[in-house]
Amino acid sequence: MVMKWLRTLLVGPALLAGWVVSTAAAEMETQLEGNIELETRIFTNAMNNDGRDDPNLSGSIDPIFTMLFNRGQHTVTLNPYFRWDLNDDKRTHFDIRQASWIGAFGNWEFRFGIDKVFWGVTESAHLVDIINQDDGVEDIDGEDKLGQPLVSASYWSNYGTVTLVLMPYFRERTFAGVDGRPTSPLRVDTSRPIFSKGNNNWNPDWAIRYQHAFGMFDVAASYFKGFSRTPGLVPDLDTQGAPVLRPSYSIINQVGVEIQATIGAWLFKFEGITNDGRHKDRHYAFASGVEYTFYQAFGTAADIGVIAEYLHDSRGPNGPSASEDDLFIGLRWEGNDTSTTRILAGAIFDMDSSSKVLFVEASRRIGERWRITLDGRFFVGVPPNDPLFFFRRDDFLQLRLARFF
Amino acid sequence: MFSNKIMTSALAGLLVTTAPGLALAAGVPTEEGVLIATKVAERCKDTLDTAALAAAVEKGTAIALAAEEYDSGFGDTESEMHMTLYNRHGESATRDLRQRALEMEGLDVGDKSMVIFDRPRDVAGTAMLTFSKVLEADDQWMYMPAIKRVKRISSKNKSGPFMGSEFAFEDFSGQEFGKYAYRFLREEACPGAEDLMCAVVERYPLYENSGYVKQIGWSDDMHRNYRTEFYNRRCDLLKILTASDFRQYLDHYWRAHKLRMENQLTGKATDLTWDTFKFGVGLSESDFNQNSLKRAR
Repeated sequence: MVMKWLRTLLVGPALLAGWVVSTAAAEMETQLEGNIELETRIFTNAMNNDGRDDPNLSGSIDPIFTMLFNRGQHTVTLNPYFRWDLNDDKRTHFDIRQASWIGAFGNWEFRFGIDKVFWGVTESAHLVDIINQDDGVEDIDGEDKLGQPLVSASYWSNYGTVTLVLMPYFRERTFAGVDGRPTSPLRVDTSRPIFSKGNNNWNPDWAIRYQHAFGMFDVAASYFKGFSRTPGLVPDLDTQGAPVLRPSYSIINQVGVEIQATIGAWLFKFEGITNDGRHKDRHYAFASGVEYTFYQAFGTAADIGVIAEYLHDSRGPNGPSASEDDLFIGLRWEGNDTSTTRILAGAIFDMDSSSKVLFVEASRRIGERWRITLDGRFFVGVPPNDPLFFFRRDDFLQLRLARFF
Repeated sequence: MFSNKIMTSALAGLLVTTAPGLALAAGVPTEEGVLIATKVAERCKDTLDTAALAAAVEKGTAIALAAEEYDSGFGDTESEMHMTLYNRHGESATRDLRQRALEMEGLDVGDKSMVIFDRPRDVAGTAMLTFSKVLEADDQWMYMPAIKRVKRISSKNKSGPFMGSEFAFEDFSGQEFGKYAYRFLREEACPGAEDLMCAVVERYPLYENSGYVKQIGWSDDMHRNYRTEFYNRRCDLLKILTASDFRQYLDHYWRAHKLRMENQLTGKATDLTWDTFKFGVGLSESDFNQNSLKRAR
């Protein structure tokens, strides 16, 4: 019985594989990339009275299998991802980051399957980056993403590249559970999301983007229509009558713009969006700044990059964005040594309140296949009306050790 | 936020040169070459035969131009290389990369190239796309596979170490004829191939941000460069590059399969060897754009 079910399940992929292999005849190459990582977090403040000051231990495995056919004309990539977490069973989770076919035919490129697409130019905020949903349970900084089912077609020419992306299935954001840190004091009930349209995840979201690089400029403009990747969190009661937050997703229309000018060691960047939000109240947000790199600084082999970016959201300090009127200052020290040692340090200052978030990340390679990373993140002076208020005591130090395949 | 990794590279293809059309349009006139050579000789306290200087500049320029013309017309190339970094104590670390390059036709248009890093494994999948220019800064993009982000980066960093090795970025991308002024020094036996005669030519970088005041190269009449000496801004002999294991492709193009760069001041060295070198693989401009950079494998 199990054998029969398994056979049925494998017929589809087997047929696809057979087609790809037969049409691409000539050569097939395989690659394995990715890593397995161990992470430990130590929180410097004990939570008030529920004992959530235990150090956390977590491990993840992130392998990427790639098959290339016909010298890379067809690529089939599979990237399953699994994390185990000691304290938070919501953080123990599995995702398919990528399961896609990419085909290149002259100036055309087609993608089909689960994939990740990044759009944007700024460092401290990724406003335009809307295709993939945040894997919020990984970390709250928006850098980790869930795989997005999509079909896309892209055409490149000397006048720019146009890409159309269709996303038939919407992915909800993941949130830490009550035993996790950082987390909000009210449980986010991800089992009961609210959708502004329909009552399931199937919705034909789509996006189109034009991108071009000319002279010193790299520019892009994009339009997205579909479920906002950022949920509102609505207070409600769960089925047992306990207070929870329910994620609420609305259909939005978003226009995005990205501009970068590269002049010598200077990078000038701008990212802006406008969308009609959850209650059809249109707002805009932008991030703008510069990056300058001192190469072989102070006569050493190391490079020092300095970044300053201003973040703004028209919904202001009482709106849902933590970066409504903020200044980001960052420093990047790149050792250029055999171990590729690097240190990033930065701070985001809220211009309307005393809120500051400070962070540092230092890493280096060990041997040929290992990398060790030390992170710290500290919240200072966060007022009650700031969306970061719930995390204000979640300062942590984190040590990660990764072994690469 | 703020988690992308900067690893700049200007690798445009070792020994890759631009199409002949560009070579004739660029390059400095003899009078200017004489001025440059004189200035450098004063600065580095080298002896100079002023009477024969113009002829030496012309001869050096002609040799470089002939080498450029000889090496053009290859269309496209693909190669795999291994880099081994040695410190003073002989301990080593390896870097593996693949590179593909497209020769571009037309005036003022440099080659397009892409480098993909394979080893060490924590940077595997990182790729760089470069549109070379002769005297202006190159256009350069970096792909960071962990977040699937393409970032346009500054290509100003010419003299920095490539992947921590003894090769600077300009050592990889600085081979176009129009980037230098030249002066012929003498003829002597080729280092490492003493039965052949080599022209010894001094050259002066014309592009900005070079870490070198001059270089001296030994090349034979088949335009094989056996040795290059690199002098830093203080006129110290900084590095010596030795090329060996020359193989001929398509009955015409010579490529060294082993390069060794030795830092004379620190005692560190880097070996660069090629596994495979393919010509005429059928690449086109659509293989050198941001879409193909994201697909780079």
